[in-house]
Amino acid sequence: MSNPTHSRELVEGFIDGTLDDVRLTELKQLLQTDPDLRASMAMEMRLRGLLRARRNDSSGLGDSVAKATDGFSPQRHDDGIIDAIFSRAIPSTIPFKSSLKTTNRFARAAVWLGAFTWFGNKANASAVVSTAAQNSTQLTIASISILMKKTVTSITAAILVLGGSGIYVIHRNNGTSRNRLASMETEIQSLNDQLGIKTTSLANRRAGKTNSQKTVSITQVSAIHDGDNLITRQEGEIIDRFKKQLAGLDAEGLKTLLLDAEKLSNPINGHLVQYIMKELISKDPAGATQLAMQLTSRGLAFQFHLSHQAADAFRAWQAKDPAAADAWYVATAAAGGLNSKNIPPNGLENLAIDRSFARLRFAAQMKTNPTEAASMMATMLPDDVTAALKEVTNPETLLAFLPNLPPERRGPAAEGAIKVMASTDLKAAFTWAKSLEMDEPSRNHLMATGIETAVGNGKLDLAGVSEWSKDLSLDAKRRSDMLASAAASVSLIPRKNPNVVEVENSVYWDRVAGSTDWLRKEAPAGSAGEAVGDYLGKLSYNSRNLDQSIKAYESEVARQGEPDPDLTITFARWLSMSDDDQFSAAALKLLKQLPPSEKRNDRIQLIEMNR
Amino acid sequence: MHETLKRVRAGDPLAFREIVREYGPMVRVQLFSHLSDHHAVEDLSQEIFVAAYWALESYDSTRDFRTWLSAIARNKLMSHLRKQYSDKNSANVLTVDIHELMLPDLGRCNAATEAVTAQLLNCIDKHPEKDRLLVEARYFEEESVTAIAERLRTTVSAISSNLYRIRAQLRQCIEENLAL
Repeated sequence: MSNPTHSRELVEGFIDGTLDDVRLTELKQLLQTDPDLRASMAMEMRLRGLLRARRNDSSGLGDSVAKATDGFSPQRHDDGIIDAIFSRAIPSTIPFKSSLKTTNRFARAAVWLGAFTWFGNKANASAVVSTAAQNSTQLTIASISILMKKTVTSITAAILVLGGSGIYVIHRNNGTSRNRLASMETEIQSLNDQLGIKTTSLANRRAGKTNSQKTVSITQVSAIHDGDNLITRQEGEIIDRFKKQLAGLDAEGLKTLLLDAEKLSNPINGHLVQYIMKELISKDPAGATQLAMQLTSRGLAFQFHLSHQAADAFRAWQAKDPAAADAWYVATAAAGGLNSKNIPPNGLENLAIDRSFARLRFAAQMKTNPTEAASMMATMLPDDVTAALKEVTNPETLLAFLPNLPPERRGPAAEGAIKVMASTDLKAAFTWAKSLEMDEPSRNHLMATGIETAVGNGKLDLAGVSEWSKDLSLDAKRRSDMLASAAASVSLIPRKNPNVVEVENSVYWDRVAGSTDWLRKEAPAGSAGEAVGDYLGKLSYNSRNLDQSIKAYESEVARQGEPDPDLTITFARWLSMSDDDQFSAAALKLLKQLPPSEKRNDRIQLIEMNR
Repeated sequence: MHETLKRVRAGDPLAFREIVREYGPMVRVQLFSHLSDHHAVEDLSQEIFVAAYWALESYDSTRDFRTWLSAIARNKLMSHLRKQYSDKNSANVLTVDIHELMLPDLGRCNAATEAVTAQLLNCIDKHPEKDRLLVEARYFEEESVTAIAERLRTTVSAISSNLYRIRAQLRQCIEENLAL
C-alpha cells in the first residue's frame, strides 16, 4: 500500500469519525484499489468488534482470558430475543374479542392503550396488554387515569400523542394485523367522548384521506417517517398540519410534548425531535438548549437529530441573547456539564454537544473577541476548528485566522466562506481564493467548490462551468465529480418542499442528452463513462424515478452504440443506494448484462449482499 | 444444528434459544465491527434473530446456516447504517459506502469468529504491559488516537504506528495458533 502511515491515519480517522469529505473520498479510493489496506482495516474493525463484544460481557482487560472467555453466554440478551419473538405473538393469543365484548368502555380503553403501548414501546407492551386482557375486575376512571398518567402528563400532549395514531402505525408496519386492528379501531371510536381522543378511520387513512379538522398525532407522523423514506403528497400534508399544530403550542406545551413523546416511544423518531425542537427553538432557544442537554442517550436516531437541534438551539440563543448564552456556556463548561453530554452514533462523534457548542462559541468569539477565540483554538480538536471556520461567512474574519492553521487545513476551512461568496459572485470568490496562502492543489479544489456552489445557485450554466474551470488544475476524480455535480444541478428541478420528492416533477429530463454530451466533451480522458454514470445516477437518486432513470440510461447507451462498463457500474451503484428494492433489482439486471470483470463482479456481490 | 432446526420447524419454538446462544456471539461481533453503541447492537441483534426466526421457512438446509444468518445480519446492518446516516450529505454517503466496501473482507472473518475470539485474548495477554494498556485505551475505553497521543505526550503517527504493529502481531499470533 502506498504511504502506509497516511493510510493508517485515514483508517484511524474513519473509525474515530473525524475524516472530512476529502479524506473520506481518499480512503474510499484507497480501499477500492488496495486489498492489503482493506485487510488491515478489516482487522482493525474486527478487533474492535471482538473487544466491544467482550467489553459488554466483562469489566476489563486485566483478567481478560479468565473472565472474557468464560462462556460467551449473555443470558439476559438472549432471553430478550426469545421474549421479542414470542411477545410479537402475544396479540394473537390474548382473547381480545372477549375483552372487547364487555360493555365496560374503560376496559376497552385499557386494551387499546395496551395495544398502543405494544407498538409504541415494545418492551412494555406484553405486560400492559396482558394486564388489561387478564384483569377480571372492571376498570374504573381512576385506573385508566393511572395508566394514562404513567405515560402522558398533559391532556394537550395526550391528544397530540395518542389521537388517531395507533392503527396507522400498525397498518403501515404490519399488514397482517389490519383486520384485527380494524375491529379494534371501531371500538376505539366509541371511546372518543370518554378520553377526548380524536381518531381518523382506517378506511380513510388507507385511502390516504384525512379529515383536515382532526388532530394529527405524534405517532402518526412517526409512522410516516418510520416507513420507507418516500413521503407522499398526502403524508407531506399531514406533516404540514402537524407543524401547524406545533406552532399553536407555547414553549411549555412543546417541552411537555417532547418529554411525553419520549416516554411513549423509545427510541422516539428523530424527525419528530426535529419538528418539535425547531418550533421550541423559535420560541425559547435558551429552554431548547437546556432541554436538549437533558435528553441524552435516547437512541441513535433521536441522538442524531437532537445533536443537530441542540446546536441549532444554542446558535439561536447566541443570536438572541449572546451575553446570556455565553455566560451559560462558560458556567456549564466550567462545571463539567458539557463533557461527554451525549454520545452520538459511531462515526458522528463530531456532533457531540460539547464539541458542537465549542465550535459555535468559537465562531461567535471570532467576531466579538478574537483573543478569546484564539485561546479557544488551543483547546479544540483541529477538525472542530476547521468546521467552525467553515461557518464563517465574512472573508475578512476568516483571513485573520487562516494563518493559524497548518497549510493542509486552510482549504477545507475556507469552504464555508467561498460557498457564501460564490452563491452570489463567483468572480469575487475566485479573487479571494487566489489571495489565500495555501498550496495550489488545495486552492484549485476550493475554487472547484465555488463553481459547484455557483451552479447549484443558478449563477452559472454548463458553458460557464467549462469557462471557469478550464484553468483549474484538478485531478481527474475531482474534475469528474465537479462536472457531474454541475450537470446534475442544472438538470434537477428545485424542490418546493425539501421533505417532499415529486417523483414525476423532479428532473428536466429533456436536458439530459445535452448534459451528457457536455460531460463527454469536458471529462478528463478515460473518465467520461464514469462521469456520465455519476450524473445519471445522481438524477435517479434525487428523483426516485426508476422508469425515467432507466430510460435515460438506455437512451445514452443507444446513443453510444454499446454499453460502457464504467458508466453502467457507476449508475448501478447509485441505483443500489435507494431504499427501494426495485432500484437494486434494476441495478443487478444492468450489471449482469455486462461481461464479467472484477469491478462488475464486486459491485454485484455488494448489492446482492445488501438486498 | 439440523436437529435443532428440525425442532424449531416442528413447532418447538424454544429450540430457537439454542440457535440464539450458538450464533449470538458471531452476530454481535459482526455488528460491533461497525457500531460502537451497545444498545444499538443489542436492538439490531434482536431484530436479526427475530427476522431469522420468521424467515426460517425460506432457509435451505443444504446451505451453511452461519452464512445464511450472516447475510441477514449484513442486510439489517446496512439498513441500520443507511438510516443512521440518512442525511444524504457527501460525508454520510461516503461513510456508508466505506462500511459497505468492507463487508466482503469482514465477512471472511465470520466463520472463525469464536476460535479467533479466544485466541485474540490469549494473544493480547502475551503482549507487554504498555501494549496492553494501549489496546485497552483504544479498544476498551474507545479513546481516540488523538486523545491517546495527547495524554501520552507523543504524536498521532507514533500511536497509529504502534497500534498497527500490535494489530499485525495479533493477526500473526492468531493465525499461527489457529494454523489459518
